[in-house]
Amino acid sequence: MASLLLEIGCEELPAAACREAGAQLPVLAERELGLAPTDVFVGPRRLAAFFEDVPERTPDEWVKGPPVALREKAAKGFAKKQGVAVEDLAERDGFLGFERPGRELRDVLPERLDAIVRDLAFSKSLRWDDRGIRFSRPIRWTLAKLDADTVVGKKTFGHRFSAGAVEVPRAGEYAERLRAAGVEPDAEARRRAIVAGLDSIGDWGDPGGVLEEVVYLVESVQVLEGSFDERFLQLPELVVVTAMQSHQRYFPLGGNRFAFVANGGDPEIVRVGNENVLEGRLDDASFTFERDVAVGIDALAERLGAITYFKGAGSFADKTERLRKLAAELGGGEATLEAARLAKADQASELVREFTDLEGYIGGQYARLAGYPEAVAAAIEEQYLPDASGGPLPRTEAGKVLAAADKLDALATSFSLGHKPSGSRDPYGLRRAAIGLVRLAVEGGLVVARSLLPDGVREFVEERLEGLLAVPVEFVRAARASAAPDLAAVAQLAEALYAARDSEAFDGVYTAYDRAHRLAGKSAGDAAPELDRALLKEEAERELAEGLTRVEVDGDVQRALESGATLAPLMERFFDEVLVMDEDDAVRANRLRLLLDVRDVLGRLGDFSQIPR
Amino acid sequence: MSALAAPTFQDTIRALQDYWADYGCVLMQPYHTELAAGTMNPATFLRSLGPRPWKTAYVEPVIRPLDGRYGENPYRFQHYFQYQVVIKPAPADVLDLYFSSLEAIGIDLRRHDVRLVEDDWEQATLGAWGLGWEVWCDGMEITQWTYFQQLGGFDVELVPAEITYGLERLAMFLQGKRSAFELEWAPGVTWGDVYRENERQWSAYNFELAPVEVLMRQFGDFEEECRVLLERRLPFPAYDQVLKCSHTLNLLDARGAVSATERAAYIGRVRNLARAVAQVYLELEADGVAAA
Repeated sequence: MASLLLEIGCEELPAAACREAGAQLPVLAERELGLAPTDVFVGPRRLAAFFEDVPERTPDEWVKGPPVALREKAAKGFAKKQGVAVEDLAERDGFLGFERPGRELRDVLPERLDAIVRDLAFSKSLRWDDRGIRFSRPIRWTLAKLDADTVVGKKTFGHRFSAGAVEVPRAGEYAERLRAAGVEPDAEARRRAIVAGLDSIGDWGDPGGVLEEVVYLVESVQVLEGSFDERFLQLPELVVVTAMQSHQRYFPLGGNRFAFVANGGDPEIVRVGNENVLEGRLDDASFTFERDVAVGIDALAERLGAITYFKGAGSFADKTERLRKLAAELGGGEATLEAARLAKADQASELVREFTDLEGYIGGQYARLAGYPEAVAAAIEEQYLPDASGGPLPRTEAGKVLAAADKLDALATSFSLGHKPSGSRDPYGLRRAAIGLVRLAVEGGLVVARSLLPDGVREFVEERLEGLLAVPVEFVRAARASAAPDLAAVAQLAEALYAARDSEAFDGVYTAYDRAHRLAGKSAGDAAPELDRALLKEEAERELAEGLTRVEVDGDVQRALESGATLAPLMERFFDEVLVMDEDDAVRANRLRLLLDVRDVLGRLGDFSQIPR
Repeated sequence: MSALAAPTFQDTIRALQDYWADYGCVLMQPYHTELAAGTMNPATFLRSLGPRPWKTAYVEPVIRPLDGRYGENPYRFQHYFQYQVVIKPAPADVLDLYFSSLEAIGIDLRRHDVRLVEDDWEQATLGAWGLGWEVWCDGMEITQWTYFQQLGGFDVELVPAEITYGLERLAMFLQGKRSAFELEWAPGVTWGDVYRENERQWSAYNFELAPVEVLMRQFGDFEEECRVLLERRLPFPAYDQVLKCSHTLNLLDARGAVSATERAAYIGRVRNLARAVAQVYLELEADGVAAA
C-alpha cells in the first residue's frame, strides 16, 4: 500500500466552480482509482485529493467478450481488438474473455489524472490554449505524488505572493507543506478560521450570505476590521449593507464598523485601503442619494410616464394607475392607495439604478423622508414581499394589499400579452408572483376575491395551491371547483374536506353528490332548465326536493357537510323508489334537473368527482 | 509604494508603457472615434480574431455619456481612461506578467492584498464574451481581466488575454486619494484641473443638448454605410461605422430617448453589424489580405 496525492493547480477559480469541483472530485477520483479519497482539498488555486492507502497495482480485470456459442464468429475479432491472442481467451459463465493483469499504479496515474481533469464539468468553462481542454479557469500545473515519488509534475505552489514553488517530499505531507507556505488547502478549515476570526471581532452579520463565497476567495485567512466615517450612517441602512456585502464581500458589525477577510498583505495597509474603497463607494452613493432626495418622491413619481414597465405593458405610470385600481378592489384604504401612487416612484431614482435589489426599500425610505405616514412608507417597502420561497410576508395590512396588487397586475398583464410560463421558462417570474399571491391570501389572511383574477390567471394561481397546501391534490382540485369566493376560502375548504374525509357527513355528501353526478352529469342537456314542482309525482322525489331547499352549504364547512349529508338518506330512497328515466319526457327532464340541482348545491362545497374513493 | 514617492498619473501611464513595451507589445495610440471601452478599439476587437499572434498595449479614453455627473461626483465621469493590454495567444505565465506590471508601477505585492475575483465579461453590442476576473487591490478594483472566448459571435482561434487597467482607480490607489479630481496628473496639476470643466460641459451636451432626431438619423446612416463598406469588403472602415452606431446609441440613451425595449433592438442592430464585420475580417485574414 502507498499514499497518493493528486493536485490540479489553477488560476483563481470562482466560488461556484470550487463547489462544483468539490462535489465531483471524490466521485471521479473513486471512479479512476477504485477507492474514495481520504481528504479532498478545494480552494481557488488548487483542487486536490489525498488517499492514505492505495494498492500499488490496479486490480486484475476480467474483460468479457462474446458468448461461448459465438466463438467461431466473434472470438477472432474480439481478441484482435483487445490485443490478445485467440488461444489466450478463456471461458467464464458462458462467455469468452481474458484476465487483464493489473498495472503499476505509477504507470496509470498520468492517464487517470488526465481523465479526472477532462471529466470535471463546470456550468461555465473556457478554453485557454490549443489542448482543447475546457475548465473553469486555466490549469497551470498538475502534481501526482506516490509516497515520495513524483509521478506527474514537479512541485506545487504556495501563496501567490508570499511563497513560490513548494517541494512536497511525500504525498502525506502535502497539507502541512502548503500551510507552511501560507496556504490553507482545506475549505472547511478556512471556513472555521474565518468564522473564528469574525467571532473574535464582534457581532458580525451576513444577511447577503457572502461567507460561502469568501471561503473560496482566499487561500490564506486574515480577518481584519475596519470602519467608515459616521456621516455615511445617514444613508439608508441597506444601501450601506449592500455596498459592504455584495460589492465588497464585507461583514457588517453594526454602526460604522465592518469586518473583512484578506488573503495576505500588511494588515494595517490592507485595512486602510479597504476603508478608502468603502468610503469611496458610500460617498458615491451619498451623491446619488442626495440628488434623489432633493428631487423628492412625488416628483420622481411624476417621471414614471417616461419609463417602460415592459413591452406592451405601458409605462410605470400606467402600471401605477392599475395598481391603484387593484388596491381599491382588494379593499385597500387611504394609506394603501397613497402607497400605490408612490409605489414605483423609486424606479425613477438614481439610487435604484445603482442598487437594483433595493427597489421598494429605497422608495419606502424616500417616502419617510418626504414625511408620508409610516403606513404608506412601510407598504411601499413591503410591496415585493414575499420575494423568495418561504420568505417573509408584509407585516402591514397596506403592505399586503399593495404586494397582492403588484403580483396580480404582473400576472394579468403578462398573461394578456401571452407571456405564460412554459416548462422551466418563466422570464417574468410569474410562478413566484403567483405563489406570493396565494401566500398573501392563505398565510397573510388577505381576502383575494377569485373574481379579480382574469381567466387563465385564475387557473395558474390556483394551481399553486396544490403545491402549497399539505393536502392531497385531489382535495385542492375539488375545492377549486367550489363556490368559495376567495383564494383563502378555497384553501380552507380543501383542508376542511381533507380533515373531514373519514367522517359520516363527508361520506353522506360524497355519496349523494356522486350518485347525482353519475346519473345526471352526462345527461345535463336533457334536463329541464328549471325544476317544476308540479311535475314531482312521487313522495320520494318531493321529499328530496324539499330536503334540498333546507341544505345550507355556505359558511362553516363542517356544518355545511352535515347539512348536505341530510340528503344522503333522501337520495337513497329516491333511487329505490323513483325511476329517473320515465317514459314521459317532461317528467324525465324534471327528475334530471332535480339531480343536477342536488349536485350543484353540494358542488358549492367542491367537485367531489375529483376525489377518488 | 511610499507616500513620498507617489507616482503622478502620467508617471503611472509611462511605467505601464515601458513595462509592456519591454515585454514586446506594440504600443498603439488611442483610437480616433468615441469608444465605450478599450476592447472596442480595432487593435483589440479585430486583431483578437483570426490565426495571427498579436501583442499590444495602449491608453484608451473611454466615452460613456450616461455616466457623466457634470463634474459634481468625483466617482462618475463620462470620459476617463483605461490602459489596455492584449496578448494573443495568452502565454502560460500571463498572470505573472500582469502581477509584475503591478510591481513595476509601485505596488508591493507582499504588503497589499491582491486578489482575483470572478467576473465574467460580456458585451452584447459586440457579440463578445469571455471569462476572467476583476482584480482587487486592498478591495479596490484596479483591473478587468478576461480570456476572450467569442468576439462578433465568432470563437477566437488563439485565446487572447485582455488586461484592462482602470487608470483612475489605479492612480487613486497609488496616490492614496479618495477622488479622481484630486489625482495628481503631473506635478502641481490635478486630474480635476485638466478635466473637471470638460465633464461639466460634456454632461450638459450628453444629457440636455445632443440632438435626438439628428442622432437617430445618423444611426441609420452609419448602419447603411457599414453595409456598403462590407459589400466592398473593407472591414476596417466598416468597423468604424459600428463604433459610431454604438456611441450614437449611448448618446440617445443619455438623452432618455430610447425605452428599454427599443434599446435592446438597437443593440441587436449593432451586434449584427459587428458580426458581419468580424466575418469579412476573418475571410480576408484567411486570404492573408487584411491588416498587413
